Amino acid sequence: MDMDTIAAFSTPPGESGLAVLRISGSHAASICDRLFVPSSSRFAKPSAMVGYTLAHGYWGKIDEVVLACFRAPHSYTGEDVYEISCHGGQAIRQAVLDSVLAAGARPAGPGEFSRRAFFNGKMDLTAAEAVMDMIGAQAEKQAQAAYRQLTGGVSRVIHERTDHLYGALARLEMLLDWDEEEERPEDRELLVCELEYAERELRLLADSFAGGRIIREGLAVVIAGSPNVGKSTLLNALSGRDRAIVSNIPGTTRDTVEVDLTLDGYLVHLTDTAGLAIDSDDPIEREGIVRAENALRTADLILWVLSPPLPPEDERREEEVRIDRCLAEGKEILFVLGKDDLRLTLSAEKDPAHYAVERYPDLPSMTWSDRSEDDLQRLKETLVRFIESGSLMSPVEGSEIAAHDQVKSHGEGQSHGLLTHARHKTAVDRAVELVKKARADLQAGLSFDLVAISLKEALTELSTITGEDVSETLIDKIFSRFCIGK
Amino acid sequence: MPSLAEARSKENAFVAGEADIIVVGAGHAGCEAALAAARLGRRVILFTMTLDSLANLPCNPNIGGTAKGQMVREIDALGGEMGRLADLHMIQYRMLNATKGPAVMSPRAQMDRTGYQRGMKQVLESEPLLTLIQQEITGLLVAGETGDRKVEGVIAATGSLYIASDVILCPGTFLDARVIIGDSVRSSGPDQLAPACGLGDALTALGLPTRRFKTGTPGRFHRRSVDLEQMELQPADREAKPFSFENEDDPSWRPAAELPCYITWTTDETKKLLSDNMDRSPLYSGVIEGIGPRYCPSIEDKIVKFPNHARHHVFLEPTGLDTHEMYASGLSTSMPEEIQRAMLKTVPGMEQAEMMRPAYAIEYLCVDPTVLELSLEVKGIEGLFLAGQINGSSGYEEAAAQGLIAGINAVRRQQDKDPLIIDRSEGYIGVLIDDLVTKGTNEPYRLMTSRAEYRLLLRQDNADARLSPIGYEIGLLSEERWQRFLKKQRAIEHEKERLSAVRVRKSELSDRILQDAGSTPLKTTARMYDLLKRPELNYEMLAPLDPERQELPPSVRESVEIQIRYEGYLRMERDRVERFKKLEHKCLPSGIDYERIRGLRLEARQKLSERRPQSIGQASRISGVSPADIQVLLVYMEQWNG
Ligand SMILES: Cc1cc2nc3c(=O)[nH]c(=O)nc-3n(C[C@H](O)[C@H](O)[C@H](O)COP(=O)(O)OP(=O)(O)OC[C@H]3O[C@@H](n4cnc5c(N)ncnc54)[C@H](O)[C@@H]3O)c2cc1C
Ligand SMILES: Nc1nc2c(ncn2[C@@H]2O[C@H](COP(=O)(O)OP(=O)(O)O)[C@@H](O)[C@H]2O)c(=O)[nH]1
Ligand SMILES: [Mg+2]
Repeated sequence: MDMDTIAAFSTPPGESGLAVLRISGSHAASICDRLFVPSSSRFAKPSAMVGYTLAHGYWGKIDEVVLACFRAPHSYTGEDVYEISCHGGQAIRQAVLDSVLAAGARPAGPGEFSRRAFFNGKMDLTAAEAVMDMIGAQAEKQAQAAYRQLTGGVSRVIHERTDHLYGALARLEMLLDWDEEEERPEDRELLVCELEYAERELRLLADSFAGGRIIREGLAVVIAGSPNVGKSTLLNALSGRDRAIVSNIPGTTRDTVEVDLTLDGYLVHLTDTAGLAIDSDDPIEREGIVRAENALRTADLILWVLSPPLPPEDERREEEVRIDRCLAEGKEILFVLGKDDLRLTLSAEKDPAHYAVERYPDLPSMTWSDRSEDDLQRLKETLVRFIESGSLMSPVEGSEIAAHDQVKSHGEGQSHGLLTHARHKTAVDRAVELVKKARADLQAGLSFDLVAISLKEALTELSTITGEDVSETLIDKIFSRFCIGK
Repeated sequence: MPSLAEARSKENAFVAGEADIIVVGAGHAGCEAALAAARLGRRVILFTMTLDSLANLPCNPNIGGTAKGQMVREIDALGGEMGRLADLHMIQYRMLNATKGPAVMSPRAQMDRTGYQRGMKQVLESEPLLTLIQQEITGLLVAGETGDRKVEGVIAATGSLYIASDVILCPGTFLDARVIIGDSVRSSGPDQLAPACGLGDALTALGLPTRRFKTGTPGRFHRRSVDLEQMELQPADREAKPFSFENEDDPSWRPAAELPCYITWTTDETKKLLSDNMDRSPLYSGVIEGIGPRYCPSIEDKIVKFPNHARHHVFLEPTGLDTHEMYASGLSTSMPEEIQRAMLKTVPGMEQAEMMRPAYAIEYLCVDPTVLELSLEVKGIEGLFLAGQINGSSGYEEAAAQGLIAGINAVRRQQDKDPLIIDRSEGYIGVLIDDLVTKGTNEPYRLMTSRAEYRLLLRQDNADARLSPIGYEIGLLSEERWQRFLKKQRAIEHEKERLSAVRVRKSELSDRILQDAGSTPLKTTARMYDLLKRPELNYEMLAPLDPERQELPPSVRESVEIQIRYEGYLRMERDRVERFKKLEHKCLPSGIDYERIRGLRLEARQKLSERRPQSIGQASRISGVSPADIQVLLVYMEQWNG
């Protein structure tokens, strides 16, 4: 159990200049060998520190890093330890960790480095007590996080996403424990179908990993829209201070303005952009527009503000092109139908909101006026919900948010915020592989008892996220789905 | 709760007997417990409510089935009686799941019910150190204070005292039992046998947590009145196999009979009738309070829970060679007799059925098994063991397995030996007992193959290989049997070695044989061993390519084939077991004070203090103990050892 190689950042999350990833275990050297250019074996002398480029097939060259090597037993854990110091940006850190995991390491559990240190005689008894305290404290924190997950939308989605897998294994186990008859061809066909579904669901779950970053690193929200629709006012309202200059002269905001704020304890990076006017001759304004485009590209969520009056036809077209481009890039967009107080006096055909809703019936929207405390509150709630569940939809029926489409806001299953740790991602990835194997085994004619092994292992992997007792859950499913007994 | 000294000092106190070990209850648990203890050289008294009903099969008279069949073979390998007796009284044999893989292939056999009972009585009577007594036990003799008690014997309904330092309670479904048929609720045990009153109170007085569970059985019908012609025939397997190693590969062994079962189906009318009368079901009107097993629902239960099922199957099964009674599997119910009779009219082939015994539900008292050690001894009461249905389990095989282990461990306790604990990787017996003791159960517990983590290792074909060494070491297997066992294992190894040396060359014959089986022809040569790994091939098919082959006993061939074919998977499973064993072997000292271990979460502290697991592995299976808590324990233990 303790033989595998573990990895985790030893520096706290958040933006910092440098991040240190620690790898410990007997495979640490071979993992680094695979990742580094030039080969690390040349510098694998004790405590050598040299600058190298971390490269990995899939990501290409990632970063210029410093690699430190501590050979067993002269290291913190008493095992071979490698420490990669990389640049602190979150994208780089993620890529570095991903590549180390892909090369065969496993994410470290709470207190695991210290525990190994203890077992390898690197700590005395008093230090061991501290380790126990630490494991306990971390476990408590994890338990709290897990509890939040279980009570939040996260757990719902994980359960939905593993439902087919449970269903397939429940069917298989039912056939093994209760059917008593010989195998029928249709049993196998049905199982293959169910596993195809299960695999697809798990892949969606894996894809939602991007969102886990959101909780750890903050949600990048970009405010976009034509000049003068109230973007800067929105930023000021959300951040609670006058950060951007507000004026009724179009093009006032020429550069991007960034504010960090916390909502319900979650970090949000808010960016106000220059109005996306077309054909400006002003070079400063043009530069602002380029920056705005860049900001949009890194956004997790775009608040697209549409306010009266209706812009001229050609501007509207241009705006649609931009919206379409963002959608094509898979961006999440929430229409903020601004200056709602003016809307009362407006006929529908003069309201840009009207056009947006008609042209993008699947996109969520909400009304907004800088005069309404309620609107501000609702917007904040929507952002928090998005962070937690990945959905902009209000669970409350009849809510004004996206009343025209309660079903789905965006590409099926892109549930942001679902998997919060690299550990989760590893578990889901493994589960996908195991389900794939089970399906291949079924198709190759292997017996059901063998197929069941991979499936149970897949669910066990996933249970490390949900904390579920696989055996018990499975038995519950068997009894609730199948009519069993004499 | 009187101690022996207190009871003795009473006026007219009478000590009627003394033994090394007392077993209360001669069901499947009690019989195995008593036999094991007596065969290990202890003087045993076995009590039963009535000598006319020992080892009763009050429900379906069949033994084995998924997971249970494997376990009967395990009981046999340890030196238990069930497999041998079942081989003698088998009237139908089937290997369930024959095509679904070796891990789940499960033998099951229909029994001649009264034959089995008579057979068990003979076995018990001929055991020199065993005394059988018909006597209801109503109390226990216990000395000491809470937490540090010691059993000294039992009190019979007659007031007599019986002395023993170890007592194994196996009262099955008899404790404070009530039988329910519609509005009729009577105090009774199964099959109109008297219920046991008094012993339940004694357990409560000892502070053991008790609860009521429920189970049920369908009616029995006269064969002549059932139109079997109308029903689908389910024949016995053409080739029956014995449960016991002692009859294995014996060409003269045959089942007592090979009778078929019959299948019919309920209809829309059945569904309508029961739905219309659901208010008369004691299950739904609230008369029944006990918790029933989900895997064994009554017909009204199935209709309520699965309203979309148009029909449910009904199996008509023979119950013996000396009777025309047939068991109607699938029609278990607690509906009033009136509805039961009306229901028969709606089932094709049963319209005219003569009901000889009505269906009924039974509620009984049992104990929360988390109060037990893995040895089945009650924590804090030295010498008191519980086995069988009283531990919340259900089923003959589950009872027999626990009885055997309790019997062995009572003896070992007297001999100052470590208890026998089969772990989850060694046998279904281990899965069963660990589940009950470590996790507890909220419904009558039935073993299932899906409860086993290492299912591929816990097969029916290797039960002997897994447990015979233990059975022999304990002293329940004869020297002769042990030598036969060793011979079989050598034969298996020898044949595997031979097969890995046999090379098959590409030839017209090999091409034809492989192609006929849908397999790719050889390029040049291959080891016979490797050909056997191809899923589409088997040992039999390849015979023409293996002229040196000797005729092998069927059981040897079966083992060889499975071991070769699944070699890769078995290796993986064994690796997992090795990791599992590491934690299982890390024992937690009994005096450990969990309140004082830093870093343990509150819930874990409470659970661990309460359950007092024997190893870190067992601790990890207690709900409420997280992986982080286990890490804390590991660090703590390291410190403690250091
Ligand atoms: C109606 C019914 C339906 C069932 N249905 C199923 C089913 O569908 N599936 C299934 O798996 N299992 C079923 N069972 C359970 C199965 O019969 C039991 O699990 C099994 O027999 C339990 O074995 P045991 O040894 O624990 O107890 P039992 O076989 O019940 O034997 C108990 C023994 O203890 C004796 N005894 C009890 N109390 C005393 C006392 N105070 N003093 C002296 N002797 C005493 C009795 O005389 C008897 O000999 C059913 C049982 C019943 C009654
Ligand atoms: N009536 C009304 N006016 C608003 C609202 N929000 C902003 N404005 C006004 O609209 C003008 C443009 O606002 P600003 O935030 O600078 O727009 P930007 O160019 O999109 O950043 C200012 O005069 C604001 O006061 C609103 O909700 N209602
Ligand atoms: Mg602005």
